[in-house]
Amino acid sequence: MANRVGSEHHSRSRQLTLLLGSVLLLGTLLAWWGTRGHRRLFGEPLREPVAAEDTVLPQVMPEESALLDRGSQISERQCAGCHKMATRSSGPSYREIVSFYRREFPTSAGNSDLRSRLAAAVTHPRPGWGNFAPGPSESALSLDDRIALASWILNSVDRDKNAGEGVGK
Amino acid sequence: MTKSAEIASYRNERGNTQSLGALPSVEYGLIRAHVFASLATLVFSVLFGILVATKFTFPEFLGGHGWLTWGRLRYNHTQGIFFGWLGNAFLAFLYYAVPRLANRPVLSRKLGWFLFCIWNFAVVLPGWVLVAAGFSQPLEWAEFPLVVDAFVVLAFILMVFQFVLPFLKARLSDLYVSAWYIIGGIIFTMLAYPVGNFVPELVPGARGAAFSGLWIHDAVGLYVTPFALAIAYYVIPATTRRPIFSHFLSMVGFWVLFFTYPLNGTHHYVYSAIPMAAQKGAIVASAYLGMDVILVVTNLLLSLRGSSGTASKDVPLRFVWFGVVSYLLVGLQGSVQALMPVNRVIHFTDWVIGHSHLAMIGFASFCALGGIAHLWQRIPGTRYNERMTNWSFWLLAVGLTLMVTDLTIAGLVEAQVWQSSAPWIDSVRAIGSYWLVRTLSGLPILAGFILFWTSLVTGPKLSEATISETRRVTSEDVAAFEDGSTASHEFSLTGWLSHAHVIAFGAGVGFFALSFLVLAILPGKELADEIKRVAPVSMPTLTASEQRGRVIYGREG
Repeated sequence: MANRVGSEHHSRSRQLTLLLGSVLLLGTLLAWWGTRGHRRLFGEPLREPVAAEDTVLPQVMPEESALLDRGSQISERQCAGCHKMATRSSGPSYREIVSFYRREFPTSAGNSDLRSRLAAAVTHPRPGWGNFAPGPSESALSLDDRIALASWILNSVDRDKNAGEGVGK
Repeated sequence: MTKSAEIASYRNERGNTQSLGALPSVEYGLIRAHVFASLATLVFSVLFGILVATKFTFPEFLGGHGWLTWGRLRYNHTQGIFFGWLGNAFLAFLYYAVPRLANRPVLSRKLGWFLFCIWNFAVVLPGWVLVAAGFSQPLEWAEFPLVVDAFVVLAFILMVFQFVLPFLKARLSDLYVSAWYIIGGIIFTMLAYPVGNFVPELVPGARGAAFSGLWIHDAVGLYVTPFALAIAYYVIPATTRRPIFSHFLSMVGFWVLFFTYPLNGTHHYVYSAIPMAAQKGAIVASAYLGMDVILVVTNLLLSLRGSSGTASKDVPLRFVWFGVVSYLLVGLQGSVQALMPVNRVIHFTDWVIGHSHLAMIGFASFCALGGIAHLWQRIPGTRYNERMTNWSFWLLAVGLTLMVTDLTIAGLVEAQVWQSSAPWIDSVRAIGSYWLVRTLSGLPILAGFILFWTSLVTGPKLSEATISETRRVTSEDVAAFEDGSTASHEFSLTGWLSHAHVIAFGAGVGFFALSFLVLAILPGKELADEIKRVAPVSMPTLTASEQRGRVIYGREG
């Protein structure tokens, strides 16, 4: 192979350059086609992917998140001694509380209404339902604090319920 | 092995100062040990695979013992193939080829046995046992737990001393392309392995996944592919006794591989949370990678032109030929399936499982088997049964073709159902029979591998005469490679290329580092910024059951 004559040598390096060039061109075409957003593939419409480039993911708003944060802190500081998420403690569980207030006022639907009812109830103005000892009346909580606490309770109960269903599946 | 057997007539590679030299000593004991270790672990790994496949059809199969569950068996299947089978097979080939390519023996026999023990008794066996006992790492191609990973890194560092040093000491001005692949494969795997195994443990979420994704592809591209190609580039000229078609194409193929392969990783996460620019960059690299495969395979197949008689008669060469053709198919398939419109359809389907089996059996295993059968006939004290090797070839070829075709169609069926609004379980019902065929296709593959093993321990014992005969063949091997490198002058550029080894190597390492910068570190930073911008002020903490589920999911795959 080393003693090939010049012209043969020349045509061969031309072939190699041609091969290299055409292969790179093909690669460029593939790359161009493959990085564009397509709605169809070979005529078939494609389903939109869930988390594609421009999709806006559902988000928790910062102010809402701050509210939950505050509620969580208050609950830990002032409520956790007697109330648990799902299990009966010296006070009813949050789950029980939420379903109690839902049941009590079945006609008025909607979460925000439920939230204001809970916000009104967190200071134990109406103690002693369901054979529980009456809770202490926390008059020190501001209206904002009570709303934060109610929001946190509703949010946590929902999350807890979803998690529970997830396990059962 | 006798001293006289160690030394054989050998034409010096440079051929100018001395025309006769001695073949540097070859560690035959280590070759045999690695070959048997590779085949034993191969049979176990394939058995794991068949059990896993059976569970698709009969979910209750093997009951509920933790160590017989689907996830753990699958981890052991892939890691067994990766370390046990391919690792040992590649090491056996290195002990045979490196002394011939570098014209020097490997560094040390003691180091060799130490490496053998680490590889098999500190990596493969404890890895399997730990995974079965529920200690693993939920990262793809990194399923063995961290303690095992440490030994893998140690093994690769030792491999640098054992196999790369002889090349550096030899100071050859022209390295044959197999040597390039061997050096590149060892060094880049040593660098890439910790990034895929340790970094995701420290960097959480999608940012860690970006690192893990790079390793997933580096495992195939910088470990499996270079060694398999080194075998193909070695066996073809050594059997046909004709040089490689074009040394220029060999070198272009090598460098494009080492430039584009590391940039591919993120194509496993198309349409994920990783920034789109990084995903698209990886797709572009994947397209060019497929083109590089065309160049490499063209070069290899053109080297076989006019030797079709040899290829059909010589079974090892036929194995390698099958491997090379599979490489073309799997490379082009991989290139196409990384493209966004295609990936959107086939992602998560069984098509991808077909693709990985075409790569790991069709390409890597066929090349490795070809390499083993080739060297087995050329080392002393072995038996070789050509008829059985031939049967093994056909069983494997039929089993693999059936499996890949079946999984590819199954993937398209799944894709079709997933594109419709039918519930997911409909796709499971639709491909139930395909899963059964896939399991059955594993049986000829298992039989083929067992037969191959048998062919190496039965049959006539190769006599001293045959060995010295093949020894002369060995000197022909090197002559063939030498012609290959003289052929490099076919291209004016190659003069420059051959003097630019160091620059090119620096560029290779630079590109490798760049791949981590552009595909993992920068996207990770962007992702971190985005998370900071949109994340809730306080993330709700995981409940105890969520926390537990997370651990179980990681452990069981």
